[in-house]
Amino acid sequence: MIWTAGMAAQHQLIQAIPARWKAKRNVRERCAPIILDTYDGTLFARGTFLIAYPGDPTTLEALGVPSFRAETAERPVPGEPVPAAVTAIVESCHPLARSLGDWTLLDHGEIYEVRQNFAILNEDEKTVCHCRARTFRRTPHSKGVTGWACSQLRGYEDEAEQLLVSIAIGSPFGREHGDTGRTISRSISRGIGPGTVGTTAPPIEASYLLARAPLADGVPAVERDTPAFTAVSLLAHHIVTRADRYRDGVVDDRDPEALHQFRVNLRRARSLISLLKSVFEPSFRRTIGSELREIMSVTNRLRDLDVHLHDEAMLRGAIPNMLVPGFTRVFKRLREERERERERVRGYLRSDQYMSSIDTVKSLLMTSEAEGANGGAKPIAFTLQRAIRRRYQAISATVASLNEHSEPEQLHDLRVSCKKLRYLLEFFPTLLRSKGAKETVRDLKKLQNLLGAYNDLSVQEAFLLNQVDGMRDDTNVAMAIGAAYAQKAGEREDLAEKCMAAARSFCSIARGERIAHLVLWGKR
Amino acid sequence: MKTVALFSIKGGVGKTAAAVNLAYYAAEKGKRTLLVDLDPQSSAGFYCRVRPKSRARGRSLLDGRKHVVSLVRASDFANLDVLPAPRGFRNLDRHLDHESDKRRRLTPVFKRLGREYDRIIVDCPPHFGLLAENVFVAADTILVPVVPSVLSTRTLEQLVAFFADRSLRPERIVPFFSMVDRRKRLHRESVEAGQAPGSPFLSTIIPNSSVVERMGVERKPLLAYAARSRAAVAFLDLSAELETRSIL
Ligand SMILES: Nc1ncnc2c1ncn2[C@@H]1O[C@H](COP(=O)(O)OP(=O)(O)O)[C@@H](O)[C@H]1O
Ligand SMILES: [Mg+2]
Repeated sequence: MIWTAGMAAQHQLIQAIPARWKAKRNVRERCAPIILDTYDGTLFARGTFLIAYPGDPTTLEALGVPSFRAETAERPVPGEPVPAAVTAIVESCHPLARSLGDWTLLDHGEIYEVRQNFAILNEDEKTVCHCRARTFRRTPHSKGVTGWACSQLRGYEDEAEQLLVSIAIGSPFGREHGDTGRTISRSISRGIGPGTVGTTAPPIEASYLLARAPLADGVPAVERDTPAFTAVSLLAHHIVTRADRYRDGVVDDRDPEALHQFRVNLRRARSLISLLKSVFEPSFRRTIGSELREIMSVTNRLRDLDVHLHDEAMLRGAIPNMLVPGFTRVFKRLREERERERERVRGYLRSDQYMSSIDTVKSLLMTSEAEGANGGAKPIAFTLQRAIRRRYQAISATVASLNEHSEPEQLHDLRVSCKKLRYLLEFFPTLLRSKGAKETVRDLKKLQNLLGAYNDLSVQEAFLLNQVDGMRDDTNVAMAIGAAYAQKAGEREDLAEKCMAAARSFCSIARGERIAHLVLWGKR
Repeated sequence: MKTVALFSIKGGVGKTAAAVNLAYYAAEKGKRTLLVDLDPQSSAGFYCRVRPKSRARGRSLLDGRKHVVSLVRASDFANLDVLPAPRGFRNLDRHLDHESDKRRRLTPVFKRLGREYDRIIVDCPPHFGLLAENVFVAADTILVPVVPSVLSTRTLEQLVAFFADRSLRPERIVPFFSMVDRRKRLHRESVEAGQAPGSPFLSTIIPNSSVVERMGVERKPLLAYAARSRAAVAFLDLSAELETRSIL
């Protein structure tokens, strides 16, 4: 079992550090706590001072730690960090250890080492702490032990400590031993509280770490009476910058999530500009819109393929076993196509054309010439309220027209409308009544989930029909697809009714009232 | 150790922009640099993403020993630390008023900070007062950004008059043109006049440029995101000129 002591444990442990340890370094460069791990019962330590150990009493005894019993009042619970007393282990093990730089490792033969450096950032995306992580393995593919050391930046000792604790509590390192970069970034991004983790030029998997770590939502501060132009430009610039940060992740193609996030952000930026359209001159809006649309359109097919390939297992599961082999050819063809698409997208994202599109958008959003539009000078709260109300009215109208004969397109339109309303509710959270907005978003989310599921089924149906077109000659393919299609169409019809019911319950007089007063406006 | 303060009683003339960029450049050249933000608006700190600690108190600044040091935080750039302005700096004038040595209270403070740094760059709030006076006494040089206009030039004259009134040496006031828009005639004319022989103005001119405004979005010194822009080059020139004159 691989287990890493959390910072919380170290926090306790550090109380037990002999004063000489603290005195050895000046505060600025203090190499704070250490994380330790076990590897087949082997101990690993940095320096000579601390070990946090998965208090497995049997192992401890087997290691012959004489003072163990004497110093702990209670036997530790397996899996829980052992406080204070553990220092004794180090004392007894250290003489056996071999030194490796400032890392000390118990002697267990040849070692493979992976080094990573990263920074821990607070919500301002300010570095508060530099971390170095090392993973040691006996063979390149064996289980590893990971240790990390952190040096906090001056003046950020407390903040760093807090962030580290929140990281460590949520996430022991080393869940997946195949890929350290992944493991570290994932575990960190999960547990983290107020801040986020990025990287400062880590040697390995840099871009991946970046794509994976959640970006701090440093949304520009906007007041109620900020001119709409300023508010929208700032936010749009922020979102586009965010999208661009996922670019490396898309280029590396390690995780479809990067492409998804890349597109989601571009779509949000486009929606922002088109939903609050009174803010910009039409020509200005169109220029930005078309640049963003172009970037997105290049990636459309790749995203579709990701989605279809993601559905593969589910589709195979949806049809009788004997028909399943019919899908093999279909998905093989898709995978080949994805390979080609990926190359194309990669080429594009690395091209000057892409860079110049992004730059154009960003710099347009930073110019003040666009301020000319008549609505741009109005306070953002006003513009936002109007857009929210209009969007809600559009939804209500669609919902009122729904009946059992409704076409799938109507549900599709409804889904798009709902998505737009959701964006509007999430663009400027500080401008909304938080209780009302939370409730509305919660109910809206429920409706969106149903509509989303409905849409997924429509997409799958269309996809299946498309596949038949290309492979009519192959009976196996046709049968597999036919079976899956029948299954999906049935599910979709069931879902349509649920969607309509949910949509009707979303639109109510009370909701209309609430939506009309969602934006904090006028009085503070 | 050299201490340079950016001062003007006009707001929005580019004090903070200059302070941040000059500090960044000094740090990049390897000088241990501290950027002190005395303006409770704390925009210098904002540009460096350094917020004051939540428990930071305004009064701590006046304690020349350990408290003032505890206000300092590292920036993300090598050699550059920041002393961000907590909200409590709003009351500095009042606190100073209660001190015995109220006009020279900051001198030992800067001296204490100077033990760790080669350069201290101070961004000041835009008004006269005890705090400003303390800075005038403690800093080696007072850099004054001047946007070419009649009003700005008058504020410079006021500053010189203030120095005279308090028997401070006016040579330490060093003005430079900031946010200059060459398309405007008044700007061109003022700059020309300012560059006549015998004028106290530095020869470097900081142009008006939207890339400077972007500092608020990027939250980085200009040189860290648009090093080749015209404005960034101007700040480099400004640093170089100050260095040649042994000011920075
Ligand atoms: N050279 C410049 N060109 C264009 N805008 C500038 C320039 N210098 C500063 N600004 C902008 O003007 C505003 C005020 O500048 P700032 O440096 O904060 O002035 P001060 O500190 O004197 O109040 C800021 O928004 C800043 O981005
Ligand atoms: Mg300022």
